[in-house]
Amino acid sequence: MKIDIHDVTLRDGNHALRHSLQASQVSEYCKIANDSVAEVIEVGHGNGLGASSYLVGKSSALDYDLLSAARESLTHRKLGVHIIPGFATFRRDVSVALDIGIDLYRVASHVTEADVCAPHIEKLADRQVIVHGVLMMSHMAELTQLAAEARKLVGYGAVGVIIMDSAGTYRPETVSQRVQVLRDALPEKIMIGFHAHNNLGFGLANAVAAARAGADILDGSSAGLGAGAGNVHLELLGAWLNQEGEIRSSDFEKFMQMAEYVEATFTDYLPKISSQSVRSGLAGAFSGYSPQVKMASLAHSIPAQDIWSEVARRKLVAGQESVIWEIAQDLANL
Amino acid sequence: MSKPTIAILGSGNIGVDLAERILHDSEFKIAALIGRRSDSPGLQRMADKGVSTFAGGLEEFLDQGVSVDGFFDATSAFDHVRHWQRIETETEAWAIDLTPSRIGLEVIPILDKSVIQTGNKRNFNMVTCGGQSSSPIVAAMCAGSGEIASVEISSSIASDSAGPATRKNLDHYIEATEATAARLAGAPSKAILVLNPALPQVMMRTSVTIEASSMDIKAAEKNVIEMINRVSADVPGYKLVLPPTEIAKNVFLSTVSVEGAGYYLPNYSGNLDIINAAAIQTARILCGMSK
Repeated sequence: MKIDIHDVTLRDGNHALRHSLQASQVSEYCKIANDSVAEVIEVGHGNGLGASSYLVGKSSALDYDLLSAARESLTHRKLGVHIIPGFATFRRDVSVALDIGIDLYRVASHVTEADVCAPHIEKLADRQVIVHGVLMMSHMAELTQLAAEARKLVGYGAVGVIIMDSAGTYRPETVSQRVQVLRDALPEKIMIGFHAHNNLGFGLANAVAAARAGADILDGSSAGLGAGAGNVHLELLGAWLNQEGEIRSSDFEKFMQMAEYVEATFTDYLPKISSQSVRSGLAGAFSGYSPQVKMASLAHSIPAQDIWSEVARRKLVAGQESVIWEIAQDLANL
Repeated sequence: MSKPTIAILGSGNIGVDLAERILHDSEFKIAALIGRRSDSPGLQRMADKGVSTFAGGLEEFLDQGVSVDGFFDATSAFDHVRHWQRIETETEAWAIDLTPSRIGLEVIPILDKSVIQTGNKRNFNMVTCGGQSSSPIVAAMCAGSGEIASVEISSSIASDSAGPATRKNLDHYIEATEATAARLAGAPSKAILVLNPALPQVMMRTSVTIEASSMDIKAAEKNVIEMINRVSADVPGYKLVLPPTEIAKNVFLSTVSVEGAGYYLPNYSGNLDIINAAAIQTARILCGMSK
């Protein structure tokens, strides 16, 4: 079992921070992570490059500043970025990353829409950089379509495919089955990754299930810092990998230091499993919607659970945050 | 006065929907529907309705020596560049470009009437669905606000309504939509597009967010409603779903939904419907038929 740990603390965690991450914090964290066994440190806005917006949240810092700070500190570890076509354009946003020099580019779409990733993946692959494809909200596709969309990403030039449980709705047996389906559908040299969320408390169990089913990459986040109920905690993954004899105790200790930094620095933002996150997980709704649901619920005095149910009924996908205001208004006018 | 004559380039979904719409409204005479394949179902369908069809492209049509007042181009950006070279040099006609070529003047007809009439241009580009659906709201909200810091357009459309050309080029969509929003608001702009695969298909939604030093919400709502009434004369499915609302300090959000009229394209293709409606509105202005 060889697992690459992909640390999304400074990217998915930016959702939990309401995109307030500062370049100085990136530097500090990356200096610790530089000596860790995490393969990749991913940095940026929660929705990736160029995503700073009213719709999903304005960043306090420019992509350029966050990535430059990380680049400077990461001499031993790879630096990764997340790119969602529809938010990021190649000319305006991806070119900034190319100038800084990124080691791993992840190009992401909603699970059924992989073809919108084609131009970005193709252009990046042409430049001889490493590109992985990401299928977000992966629970919203049946197994056959999941495999077909993953094959498309590989066809464009991605050398890895990551499925995200963006709603934190999977159970371990679902994850095993899905990873197995991808393993069977994709060439052996293509890496398969799994990105867990904790909404239903299955984060670690799901990550372990993915690894046992043949996943090569596990995403995780120090202290779980991430959207919704957060990601699988890196320090928990580290503890498990240490118990399994996959990493040394000193490597586990490094993960603990990273978690301690996050706990001390972002004390008020640490995600937790809450009644709201359980509702969103059961509804299969995008974890990243939490702040908007909270705000709209307060503004219109509508119970948050009613908004979550309607978000799920309307099958909203990531990037439709403005519809939450419309839902709250409609519910208030009932 | 006899009806202006037009020709439509492209016998795909958009070209056929345009043709159906023009036949229905009967303001223009369709001189030709021009495709590239004799087995095109679109050509067959319109030939059955008595429209002259050409399967040999613009070349074959120009060889006939039939003159028209204008062309609608619903082919591809690549083909439009080629088409325009010949239209510009060999005819007196105008061209309304529904492709993403961006070589013509980018216009929102409901706002840019005088630009279209007096601009001394012959090639007009219809921007994007997000541009056509958001611009009236941008203009209405800006009219009642103080200094504008930035404007943002976010649209979600049904996956089934996004053709392969759109999917392969979301960057183009973003750049063109941002250029028009920045022009209208006089401020930096951002555009976002999301495809939603839900079934039954979702209706297009476009949200406009404006950060401004101030906004008279009541006046903005009145402006927005007036603007929607004007647009919906041509696009009946253009509806307000969220009046201007202050969602954070000095940040104002308003949302419309766009349901298609269902001439040929399905109702959920409001994104395509609003572009076709804009193309016809532009032609009316060019022909002095605009109300």
